[in-house]
Amino acid sequence: MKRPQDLLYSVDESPSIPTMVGLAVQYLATVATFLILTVLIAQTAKATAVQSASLISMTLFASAIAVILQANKRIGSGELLPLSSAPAIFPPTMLAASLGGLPLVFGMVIFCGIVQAILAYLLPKIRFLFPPLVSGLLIVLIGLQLGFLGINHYLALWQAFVNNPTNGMGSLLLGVGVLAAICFLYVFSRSVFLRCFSLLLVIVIGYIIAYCFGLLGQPALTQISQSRWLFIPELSSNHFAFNSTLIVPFIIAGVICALKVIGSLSAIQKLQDDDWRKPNMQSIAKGSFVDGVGSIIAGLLGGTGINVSSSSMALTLMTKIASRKIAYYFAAILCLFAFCQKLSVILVYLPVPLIAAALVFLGTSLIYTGFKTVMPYISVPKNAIILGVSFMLGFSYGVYPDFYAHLPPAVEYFTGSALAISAVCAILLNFIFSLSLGASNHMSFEFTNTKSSLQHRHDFMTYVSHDWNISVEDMQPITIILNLLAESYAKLIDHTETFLVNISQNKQDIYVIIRCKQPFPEQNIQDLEVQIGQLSDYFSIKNKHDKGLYLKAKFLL
Amino acid sequence: MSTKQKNTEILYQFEDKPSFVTVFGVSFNYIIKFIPLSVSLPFLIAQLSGLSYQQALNLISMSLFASAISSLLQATKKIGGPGILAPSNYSTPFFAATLAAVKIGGVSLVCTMTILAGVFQIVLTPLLHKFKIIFTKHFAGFILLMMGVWLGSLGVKEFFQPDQLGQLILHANFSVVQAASSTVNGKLILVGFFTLGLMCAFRIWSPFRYRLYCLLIPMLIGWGVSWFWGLIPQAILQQIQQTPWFLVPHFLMPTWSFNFAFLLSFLLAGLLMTFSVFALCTAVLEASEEKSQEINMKLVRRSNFMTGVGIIISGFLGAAAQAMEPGSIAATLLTGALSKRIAYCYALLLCLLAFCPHLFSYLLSIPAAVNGAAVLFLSAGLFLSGLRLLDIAKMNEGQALSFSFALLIGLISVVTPEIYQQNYNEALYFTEPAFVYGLVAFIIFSIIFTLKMRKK
Repeated sequence: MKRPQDLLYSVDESPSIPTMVGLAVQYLATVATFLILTVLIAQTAKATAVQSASLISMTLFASAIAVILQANKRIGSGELLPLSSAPAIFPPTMLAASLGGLPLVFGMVIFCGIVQAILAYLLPKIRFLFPPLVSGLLIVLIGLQLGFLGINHYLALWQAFVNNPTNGMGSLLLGVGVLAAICFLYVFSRSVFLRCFSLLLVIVIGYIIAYCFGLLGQPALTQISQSRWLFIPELSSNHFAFNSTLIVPFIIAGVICALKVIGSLSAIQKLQDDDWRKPNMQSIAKGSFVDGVGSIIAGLLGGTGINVSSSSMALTLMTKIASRKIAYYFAAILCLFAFCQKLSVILVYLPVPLIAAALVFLGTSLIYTGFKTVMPYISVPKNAIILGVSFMLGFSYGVYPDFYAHLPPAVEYFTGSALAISAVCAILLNFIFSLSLGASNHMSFEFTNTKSSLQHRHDFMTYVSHDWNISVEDMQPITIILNLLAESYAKLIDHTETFLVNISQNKQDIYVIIRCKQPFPEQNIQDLEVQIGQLSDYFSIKNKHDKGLYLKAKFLL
Repeated sequence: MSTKQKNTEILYQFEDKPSFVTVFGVSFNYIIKFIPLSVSLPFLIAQLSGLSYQQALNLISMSLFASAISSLLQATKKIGGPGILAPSNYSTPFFAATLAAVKIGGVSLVCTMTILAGVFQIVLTPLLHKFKIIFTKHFAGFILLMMGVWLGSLGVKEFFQPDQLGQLILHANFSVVQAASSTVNGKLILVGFFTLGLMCAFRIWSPFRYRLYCLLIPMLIGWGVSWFWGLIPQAILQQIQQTPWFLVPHFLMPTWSFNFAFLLSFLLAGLLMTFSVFALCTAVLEASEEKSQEINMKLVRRSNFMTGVGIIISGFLGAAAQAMEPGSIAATLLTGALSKRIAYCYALLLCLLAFCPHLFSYLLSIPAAVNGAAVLFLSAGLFLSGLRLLDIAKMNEGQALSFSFALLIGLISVVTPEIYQQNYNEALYFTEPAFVYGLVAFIIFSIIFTLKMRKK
């Protein structure tokens, strides 16, 4: 493990208290934006103001517990991993809210948490089923759903303006102005702070403007003024319900959440180690498990689903501070906000123009992030087909909802939403296409360790990369191993050696088998093992005096 | 300075000379997929303008001739064309405007307005070079993406509701046949899924040679399965028997008429066609050996000019506008065969079909679900070509926002069409509002953010 030069504080180090408090407040600012999703769920479930405030409080409280569990080395990943209301769980939660109100939301959130907790230990083994292509596609669809919801809010504002131009004008102008201001700050601002918090800042200013111009409405003002600063929400009023038609959408949400944890923890591990080659799956499994437990706690307490926050992760990567102690300060601040009824009620009465702007902006960010995730993979024809066909079929749900509404109940599990259709289609296609590759891609070549063979090896690897449509980056570790062996043999053994190299592709893995008649010098074999261990996901070496060297290594694509 | 890079996905380049069998087979990819579309529109025009059965067949033949000429114009460098494979077909941006015009003024109005649109497109050609700020690779990518979405929405409708769309047949009374019960509909959808699966399998697993026919073979199998399963209505089969084998087409000598109310919609169609040509041509050039950092605007301008000429010729032949079609370019990119010889063979086959209504009436019996599967497959290809051109990973914040906003604005009109439909009037018909609104949003946002970057 090699500490990067620009890392300010690693996970076990402690910055000063003011630094930690300041960072915790920044994390709160990043996750607060996503509470809009909780507000929308409460609105869809037709919750009262008190119920909505309790929903927000409990989501924050569950996040605080999960952050502390996550920071604990024995239970969680031991890393700083701030959580927030999860956009990934949002679309199925909205379905649950409209079908069965808050009890169904709580029940299904618990189910999603259980799925994620189970997946935490299964996912490393079945990860080939969920390549970044699938998760990227799902992020795009979530972004589209959020964006459509935002545009529908704008259309409602437009309709209100058409019906009553005097009263509707203010809200419409506020909605357009807030969105323009967010975009302006995000694109034109040179200050990193302003760009990171453009959404939150503009929403706060927009709220103040709405208050000043009387756009909040009397019931909202009364409720806000009557609410208490500190309160303890009632837990006994929570009921739970379950709906089997929502199983598939919530399983998909669980998978996305688990994949997000894998990505986030890999990024944090990488941040702290310059020699990082592959993720520490033990820590990731624990992290994903605790993330699922967080959702279970949220559901049990009466909150909405939570998941690691991508924007918080971006903040960690930007500040280069990974100290786990910040998690405790962050949790303390979350608790403070969770029990402040006034703040929750203020959020509950967030004006529609602000919700519309926030949803459109969040939606566009997710669309961009999702497409960016899939971009490196679409040059491979099978990935292109998976992405294109799955997107179009998911899209068909919006174009032809009538068709899906009349399908047999058994099929409805898989076709309940655009997200479910796309996910099922992408996973199935990916699985089918992966199966075929094992049988089709094999190649072998032989090279003699001479000065001119370096170019031959390079040409061969380029050929394999082109022919199998694997990126050059994915082939890089194999090239490095081949060069490593060739150089080591050249240094250690006097005469030139012949290597037989077999490369095969199976599912999402590449296997390489290298044979050499001459055994590798025993005193150097440990160094070789360390170096190959850093490059491959699995390897075995047999080095026998009479049979020579036999090296088998696996690389995950 | 531009850098060139070979694309391994392309099996035959523009100047390559595949064997005659290959050229012939690949041309059939386009024939089987696009002839039903080429035939359907003139058929509808004939129906709306009250032409006789013989006149309708003649109109279809003229449309096929116009398509053949338009394809040749794109493929032939010697006459000033770009020298690319761009199989032409009925030009979709003109669809709504053409149908609206034929209702009011008949074939003569359609011909006049089509010629004017073609002239307008030629006038626009030099402007492609002047507005470099707009005509970027990102813009080409976005157009392709939106075309993919639009084509996808059409495919979805054909795929999931084949009985509602029905199938057109060449019939003396121009009747539209509805496929029967919901059971038949269910079976058709199954056949559609089967065909789509076959297309994916052929594209990914089949060796080099069969990949060229990833559209033709699955469609033939899907068509055959529908035939044996009894999913093709008897009325269609009976009408095929009654359609004449041979017909000597004659020039229609259309009369000319003009209606100012339709000028704007036809000019807009011409503008949209220019955008389409720019994007499709860029995609084909990118896919070819000439892949480079910059767009070859010289070839794009030539292509746009020839498209305009092709549209004018279509008008003079008495047909609706014929030009390069997004689906056919998607098919070209998916099969990986760009050889110009395919264009010549395609044009020859179109001319032969123009003399033989019996043959193209057979193609009309391809079930809507099988067609829908092909359209879905092609739309996925177009969508991905767009994504590749957009190169999202290299976008700055402004470009990312303008792309995402424009995509949202474009897509919502497909998902919730009633949002934009209320703004329609007779003179402003768009074939696809998603496409139009998405493009307008993209141009506006891009200009705003480009100005900002220049300031920096």
